[in-house]
Amino acid sequence: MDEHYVELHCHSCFSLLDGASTPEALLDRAAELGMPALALTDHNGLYAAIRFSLAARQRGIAPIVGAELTLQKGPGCPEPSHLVLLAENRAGYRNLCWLISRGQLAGSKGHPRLSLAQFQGHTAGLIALTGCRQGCVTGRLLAGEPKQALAALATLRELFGPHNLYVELQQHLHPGDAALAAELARLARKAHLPTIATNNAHYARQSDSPLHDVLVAIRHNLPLAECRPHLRPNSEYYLKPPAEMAALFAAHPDALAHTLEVASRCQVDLYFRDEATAPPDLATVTGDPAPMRQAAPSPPEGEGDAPRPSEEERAFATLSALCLAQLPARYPHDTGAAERQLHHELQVIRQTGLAGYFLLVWDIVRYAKAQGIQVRGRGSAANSIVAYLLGITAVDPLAHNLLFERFLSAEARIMPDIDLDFCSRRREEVIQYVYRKYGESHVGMVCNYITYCARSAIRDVGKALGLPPAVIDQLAKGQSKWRSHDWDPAALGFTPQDWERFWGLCEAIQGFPRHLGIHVGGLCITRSPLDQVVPLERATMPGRVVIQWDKDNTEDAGLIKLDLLSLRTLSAVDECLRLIRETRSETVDLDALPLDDPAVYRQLQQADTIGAFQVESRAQQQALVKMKPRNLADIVVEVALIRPGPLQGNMVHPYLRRRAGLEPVRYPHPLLEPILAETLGIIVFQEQVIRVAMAMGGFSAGEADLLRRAMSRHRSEEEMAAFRERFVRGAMARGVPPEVADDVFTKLSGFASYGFCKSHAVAFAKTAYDTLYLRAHYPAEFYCAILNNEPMGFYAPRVVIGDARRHGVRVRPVDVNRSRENCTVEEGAIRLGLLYVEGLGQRGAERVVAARPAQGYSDLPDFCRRTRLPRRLVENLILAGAMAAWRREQRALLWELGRLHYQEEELPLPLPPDEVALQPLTRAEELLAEYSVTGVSAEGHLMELFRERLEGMGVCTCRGLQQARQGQSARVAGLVAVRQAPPTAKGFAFITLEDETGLANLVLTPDKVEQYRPLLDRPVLLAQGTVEREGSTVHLKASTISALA
Amino acid sequence: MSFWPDGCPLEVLATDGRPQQFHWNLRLHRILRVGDHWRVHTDWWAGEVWRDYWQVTTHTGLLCVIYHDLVADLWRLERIYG
Repeated sequence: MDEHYVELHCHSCFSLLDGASTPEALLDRAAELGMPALALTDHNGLYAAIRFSLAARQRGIAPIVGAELTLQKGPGCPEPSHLVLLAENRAGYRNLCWLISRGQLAGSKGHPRLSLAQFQGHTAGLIALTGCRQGCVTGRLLAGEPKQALAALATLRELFGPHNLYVELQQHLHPGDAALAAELARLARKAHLPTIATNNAHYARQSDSPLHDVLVAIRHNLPLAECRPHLRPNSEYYLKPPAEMAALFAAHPDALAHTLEVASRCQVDLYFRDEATAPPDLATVTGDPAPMRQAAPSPPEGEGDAPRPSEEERAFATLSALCLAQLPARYPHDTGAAERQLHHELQVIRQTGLAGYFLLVWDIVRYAKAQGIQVRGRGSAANSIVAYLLGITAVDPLAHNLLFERFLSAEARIMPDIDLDFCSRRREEVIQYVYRKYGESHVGMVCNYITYCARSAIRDVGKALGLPPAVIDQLAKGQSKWRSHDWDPAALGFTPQDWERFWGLCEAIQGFPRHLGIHVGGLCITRSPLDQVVPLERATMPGRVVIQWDKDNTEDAGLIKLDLLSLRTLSAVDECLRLIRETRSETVDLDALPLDDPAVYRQLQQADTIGAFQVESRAQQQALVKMKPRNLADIVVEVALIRPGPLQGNMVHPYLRRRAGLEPVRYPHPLLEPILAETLGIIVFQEQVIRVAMAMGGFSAGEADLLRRAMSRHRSEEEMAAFRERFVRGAMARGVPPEVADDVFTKLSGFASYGFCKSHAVAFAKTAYDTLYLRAHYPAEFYCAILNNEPMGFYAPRVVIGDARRHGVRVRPVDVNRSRENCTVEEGAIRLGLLYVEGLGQRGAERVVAARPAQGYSDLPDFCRRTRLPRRLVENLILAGAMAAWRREQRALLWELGRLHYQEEELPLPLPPDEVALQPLTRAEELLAEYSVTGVSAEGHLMELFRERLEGMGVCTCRGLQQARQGQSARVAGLVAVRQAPPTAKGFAFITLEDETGLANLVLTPDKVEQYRPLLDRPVLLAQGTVEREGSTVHLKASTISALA
Repeated sequence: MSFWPDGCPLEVLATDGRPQQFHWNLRLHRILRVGDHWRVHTDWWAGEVWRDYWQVTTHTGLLCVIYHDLVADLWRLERIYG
């Protein structure tokens, strides 16, 4: 007998908290077992279908796409039941998506509602297997109702037809399994239907079954010991070798043979590029308002669609026209090079059929701009002149030497990647526009798999194993890396064996999806109705629908994915521009700014960047002083380089040294000089990875992009090894010695996972430039806008205020008669907004503004009676100094408040004034009061209170520290502005103190961190130590720390 | 019916895990028929239980359940019916 067998009922970890193996692990095992094909049938979803298909083909296994659906109880089936569906062809796949979507959308999260009646008309191209013990047919047999079982079979047969329905036999060595299988076989014969053998695999190997048990326990939120009724009684649910299956089904040889038959019938290609390029509603292109889009008619059943040439051609013609029209405006001087590049790009766009995609993006940007919503495009798309001409990006690709091939390639399978950053306040309007224009049936949000990380793994596995909560807490909290070698298992109550097993389970579960979230802002737009391309689910936000694929899967499927992201900075920029218009009647056109304003570069070179985009962090500031950017290209490198990845990867220091002339600029090989010259021989940008792969390894543009993607997605070691071999071979063919090629590849791979895309960096650099420009020329409006868009950026509001004042901007405290809810610009100064008063909130703030008469509140009683705010909030306002308008001392005001009757009380009885002479609050008390109530001090700095005393102790100001000499002993004190203990810093900590003169940086060595740990959370610190200077960077290496408050 | 909750040790002759005959109560019992066969694997977190159960009829007229403890590789008699 032929011992071949294919598993057709199989679950991966995307059967959430049920399947215990990744799709890759299942496929690896299937390959070992010699299975020519494998089906993936996760519960009610196709989450892993794309990933599974690609991984299968890589291993030479034919992927079969399917799902196990949960059906509601219905006539003939008094219990909810399972049914396995396999897609035979594209039509079957469409029906599968449709059915899964119906079930998901009708039910609630995790509980789909689907009935067999809905299958009518949607079964073509699907092969059904009657399911496990929870299948309706088997269920009826187990309940002792063979007639019902037969009836259920008849219903299914009517829906699917006799050639697309198999009675599923399983043999998991449960009591009675053999007899049950025999009975099912008899039933099948009676109904003239074939049988099929499956093992309902939930994991790849038998040794994985404990993990499966743990997942079930997690799902039921119980420890294993209490979970017995839900656990499978044995470990037989693994991918079984054909020989084992043959032994188990010796009595049913047909059932085994049919698995091969079904496998050979199922062939679905999961690539949707043709179907999924949505042509824009061309009426909008001509300026008419966008009508509701009609759903595209369902494509005819059958394999794939014929391309629609006229539509594509029209889109292309429109695109070309738009681009050419903009050429003179964007390139007023020399259009020669621009035209050539444009021509080249349009060629590629035509070949790849993506004109519609560009028009789609252009339309969204056009809409946003028309609504006055700030928008910036970035991503590999920023590489193109087309995007620049269409106004999608603000960056000239020619001027910045950007690479179009990173974006698109005639080698088909690469989808363009455009991120659009919007002002966070108004992004939602844009999303709504997209839904309105293309219809809810064509737009879906891309999902995000929330996966297990170290901590969540420890918590959930620990709970399942019944570990004491205290132990779980200790293990979960006490680590920055996986297995800390400081643990003593015995002290925690583990045997060595239990310890190993616990960590083994935690490691195995890491990366498994726990549940689905939404990828913020990722939209998928399709030409066909979405639910025929990918199954849909409910999102928690009403009216929003989420597709079952994440970013990577959507991209691999060839679908259009747009990221519509929100950036608080853009909101701040937006507001700043508005304030400038209001206060100065000036309009600043950021798109037309010259990029060489000396004020911008001065700020950068002095690391005077608090509040600026991307360049304000401590790490950035330290690098800025060394780099001293002189032009936009320098800012681009700064933004790309000063990030955790490159810092860790030790690329930053060589670059900075070379720039300072401390190290010669070297290239690994002359071939790389033209590519790396702009970054002094260091690989900084992902685009350089592509160029190096092409120039040295002889990769085509498309291959190089595949390499880059593989690197950035942490692909398998085998894949990387294959790429390496190809690279070295190609390099040797170009006369490069193999050791050099090998070394270069190592550099490439070490870099690519965190390297920055140059076009991102350019877009960010431009935004950084914009914010610095505004900060220099319109500081009041700029800082006001930043304050109104908190939380954002690196620094707390009070640090921003301190910075504003150091730049000559007056900041006025909250005032009940002058302030609005938000901060405003008042006669060139910033007036703090009412929202800064603790507890007031939006409603309270609005009430104060709304109840204010034209001439202002006249006194406290007037204020209270008009606003009727609760006492405690009035107190806060007093303490914030908001009633200074009446020039009454705060204590007196508080006293008055205490004696005032208002609100719902009876008639307000003015009590005769009590002539108690009250001591006015001291300055200190005033500042502290204001600070405690608003979190900021507008006109003074807390440290002023201590200054006299500190001077007496020989403590210098923060600014004073900047003048100290290397090695000098010094003391400095201030409010803690920043605390950092980055995991890469090997136990070191960095603290920034702020006083009325500026900021000072402290460095604490690990032993000092340990010694002073309890103090490090205190708000005001005094540090003594040694001054260390590096050029103009100064910090204090702390030897003692004390808390002043 | 007799039932041994902890199983009564048994000397079994098996081929490929399938029992053929066993000695018990000073007699040899050949297995004529296997009524049912099931496998249990649980409690790996607290004293693993991994057993192959066989419900068998012997030539001596016994209907009983024996199991193969797969962890310790021992056979035991669990119950005899009637």
